[in-house]
Amino acid sequence: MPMACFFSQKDTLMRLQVLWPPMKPGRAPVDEKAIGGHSIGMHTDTMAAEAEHEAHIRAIALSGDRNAFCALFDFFAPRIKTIMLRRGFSADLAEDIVQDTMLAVWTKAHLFDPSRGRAAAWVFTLASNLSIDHVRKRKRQARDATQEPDEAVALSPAEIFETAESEARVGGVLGDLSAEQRQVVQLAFFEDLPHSSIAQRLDIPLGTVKSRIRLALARLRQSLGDAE
Amino acid sequence: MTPRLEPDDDILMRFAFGTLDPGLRLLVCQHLERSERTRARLRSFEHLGGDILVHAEASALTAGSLDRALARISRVAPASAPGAAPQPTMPDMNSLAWRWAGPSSRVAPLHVDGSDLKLFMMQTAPGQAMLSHGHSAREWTVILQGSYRDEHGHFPEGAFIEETENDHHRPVVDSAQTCVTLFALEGQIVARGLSGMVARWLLR
Repeated sequence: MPMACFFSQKDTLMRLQVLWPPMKPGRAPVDEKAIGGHSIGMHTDTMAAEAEHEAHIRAIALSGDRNAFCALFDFFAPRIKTIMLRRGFSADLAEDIVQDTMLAVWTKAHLFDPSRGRAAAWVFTLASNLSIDHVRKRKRQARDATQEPDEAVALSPAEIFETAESEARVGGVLGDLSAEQRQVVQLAFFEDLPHSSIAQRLDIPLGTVKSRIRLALARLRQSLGDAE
Repeated sequence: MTPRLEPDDDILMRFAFGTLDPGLRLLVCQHLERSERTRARLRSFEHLGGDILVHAEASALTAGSLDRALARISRVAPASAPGAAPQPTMPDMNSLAWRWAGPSSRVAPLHVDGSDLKLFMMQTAPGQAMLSHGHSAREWTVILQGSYRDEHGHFPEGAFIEETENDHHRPVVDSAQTCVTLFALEGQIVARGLSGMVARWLLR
């Protein structure tokens, strides 16, 4: 099967790229702040990549282009996995969601409408929607096993630092937030903790959690959507 | 006080990230169909998700991951969009178990798989008061048809309303057509007076 061989090779190549992050073809480092600040949340480099993603999705929709699919897989699959790991999914579940998402990219490519949002946002939404079923299953299992819901254990100062630190490495618009704001966004929306648990974990008043989240979201929305 | 008629950022963010309670998700979907403004706001959070995805570090995939994906897509045609509709859909109103809920008003419980909330649909005739109640926790309502008024203001079709604990209100339908609402309760209905006890029994 010559096709399969070709794709296996590509798979290997892709894994090499994953192992050595400096190999990012066509993504020259650009200082975001140097090009007109953050207000539109996107620089020329990202825009070029975005145009490429859109072209690939169109190629799948129009002609079932497998090479275009491979290119999208190369870029998105390892990143979807990262997002799902950050949400607390096991590596196996994260991979399942990656597979389901990429299948959805293939079958739903014709539904992608660039006027309604960017390719990356579309892929993100597919992945998020597909993760819902897994969250549900996980909840049900937890209930069946009559486990207590996650105990709200207070984070040690070292852990708090670690969370903020790892979040600081996040690029893009999340990088616009203060470390404190990023932390509540991480806990509320990635780890899906209720506000009361966040207050307990960070040992701050509930009102502070609520206002911090409100300010963080307003800021993010300002940086992103409202500029469009 | 002008009532807020849209879900707040926190809800939309959870919606975009796929972590919102499935019951509340159904309400937000119904509101989104009726509000261009909220659709635009949701797009900015989806856009944020895309931004986070693009900037995420790449995690190593298990061996043969791309091969597996290619094998799967070989079995389906692109543009086939098979099942697995991610958005929850409203059940047929005739299939629900409607109960009496006061003069010219009826209520029916709704089941949404995986939801931790109690969901109901309510229909109330024009000019009639809807169930008066307070709550022990939050309640969310979306107006599917018609409109109502209470001491906080006027609520038009499509409105998404969040009420917190201790809110006590007495909505009256002020539209010419029957008012149909979909609502989700987080905690128990607080019984206040006879009508409150009736509400608590009906929304059990």
